[in-house]
Amino acid sequence: MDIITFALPKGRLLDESGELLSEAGLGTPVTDDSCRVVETGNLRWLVVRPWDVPVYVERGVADLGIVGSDVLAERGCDVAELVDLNIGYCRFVLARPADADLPVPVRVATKFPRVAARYCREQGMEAEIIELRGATELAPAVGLADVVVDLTATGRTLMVNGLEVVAVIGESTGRLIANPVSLRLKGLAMQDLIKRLQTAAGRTAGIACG
Amino acid sequence: MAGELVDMPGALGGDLACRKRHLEAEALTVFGRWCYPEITTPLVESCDVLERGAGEQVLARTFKFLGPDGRLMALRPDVTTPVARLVAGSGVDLSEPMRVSYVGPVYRRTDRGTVAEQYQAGAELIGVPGASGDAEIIEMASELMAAMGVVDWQIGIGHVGLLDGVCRELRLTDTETRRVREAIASGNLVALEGVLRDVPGCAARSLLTGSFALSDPSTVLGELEREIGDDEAQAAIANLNEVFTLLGSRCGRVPAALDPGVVRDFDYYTGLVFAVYVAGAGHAVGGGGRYDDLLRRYGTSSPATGFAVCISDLLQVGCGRQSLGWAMTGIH
Repeated sequence: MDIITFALPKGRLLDESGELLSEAGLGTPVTDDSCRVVETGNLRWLVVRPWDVPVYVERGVADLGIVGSDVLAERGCDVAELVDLNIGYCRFVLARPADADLPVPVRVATKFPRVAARYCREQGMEAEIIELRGATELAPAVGLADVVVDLTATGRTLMVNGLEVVAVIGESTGRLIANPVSLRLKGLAMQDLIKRLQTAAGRTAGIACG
Repeated sequence: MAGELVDMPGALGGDLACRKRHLEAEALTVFGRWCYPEITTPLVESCDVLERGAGEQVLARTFKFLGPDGRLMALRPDVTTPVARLVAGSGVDLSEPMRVSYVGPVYRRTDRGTVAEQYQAGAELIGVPGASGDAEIIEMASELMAAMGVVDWQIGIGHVGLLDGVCRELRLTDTETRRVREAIASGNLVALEGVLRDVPGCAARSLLTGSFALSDPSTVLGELEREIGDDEAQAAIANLNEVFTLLGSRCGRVPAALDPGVVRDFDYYTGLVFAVYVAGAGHAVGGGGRYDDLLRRYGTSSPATGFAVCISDLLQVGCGRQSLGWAMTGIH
């Protein structure tokens, strides 16, 4: 029987992924957040940083993975994107200090330089992209940048830092991704998993919409 | 930024070089058995010549540099295009089929802007149109995989006319067709379902949404054939049916299945296309297809088909170790 390897994202998506997998009848034994490898039956679970999930899947080390579409949009990995799991919803936004003017060119602080650059190009905005690893919301206050392109779920962090949303660039939800070769070589076993997750995601979406 | 860093992890240490030689020798043995004599082409090609055959898209993925006379040159990204140039421009009589094979490196630009050196073994069959040429190439590719020592491989077969024909059958607009093609090429089922949201269920629609997996040609093509009227799609289905029949009737069965979403690296394919998948490799380790229009662009029209396997990928999944019995050990 084929072993199917699943890469799961540490952090905010891990709990929701776990719930969805339980809904789908694929209860995962992964309960905490540390990076590790766990095996149950013919399923092997890897817990890794969200940024790295597509790498494991692209290389075929993981057959399936769950990762936010924000990571896919920024990384552009060569993986098959199969299902929108309707978990971990957040939005890409452009935010600036309240009532501030935007200079030309505008300095944009972001953890997502490719997404930000693409947006500015499409909007015809002259921009200098400043890539940060974290705490982008501090950048305008300390004079590092004029605006931020950031991912936000509730909007609280931005608000607390005196930033207001100027534009919504896009949305991000958790996606089920797969390695294209695995889909072809381990077809039957994977189709069953995928179908179950698809059904569970549909049920979740139904509940979320009320 | 003044020029690119060329980061080519191409050196083969340990036992890799020995294993590579072994795999190349095995490939040439298979090619010899099938009467495909070896050919070589230069590693360096002029960009405008490459572009004439493979289209301007090819330049985006080549490693380019200025030649001594100031012309823009490139390291060859494939061997098929240079072979087409050589054969079409040589004035040789192509009323008789021509078979050639090769081993050697090709150079592709990676997404990170570096250059990857890949060792390939491949063959071209020039002057044999239709299913018999397609089946010959696929059968030889399969035999090559066995000779490489691969235990578990699958060949996925598709056709460039199939997806376009199906899109026409579903009366998709040009934009929708482009989005379907992009979704399938990038493996994005979510986007594909989005484009097809209002399309009712039918064999044509199922072909598109099922294009991320292998399927049984007799059932899928049978349903499709009964349902659709588009001429190009029907011709593609007939071609695929004929090839699967020819492959099935060979003793020493070729492990092939229908792969509607098969993606190839270049745009010059005009008909049947296929990819070779191996357990343990994250992407297809080889493939090929029919490119009936390529030689015409270099001066002489002729149908042609071919394939290549990436020996570098096969080394990664452990092939070639059987050669090491006599080789030096303990040197890493």
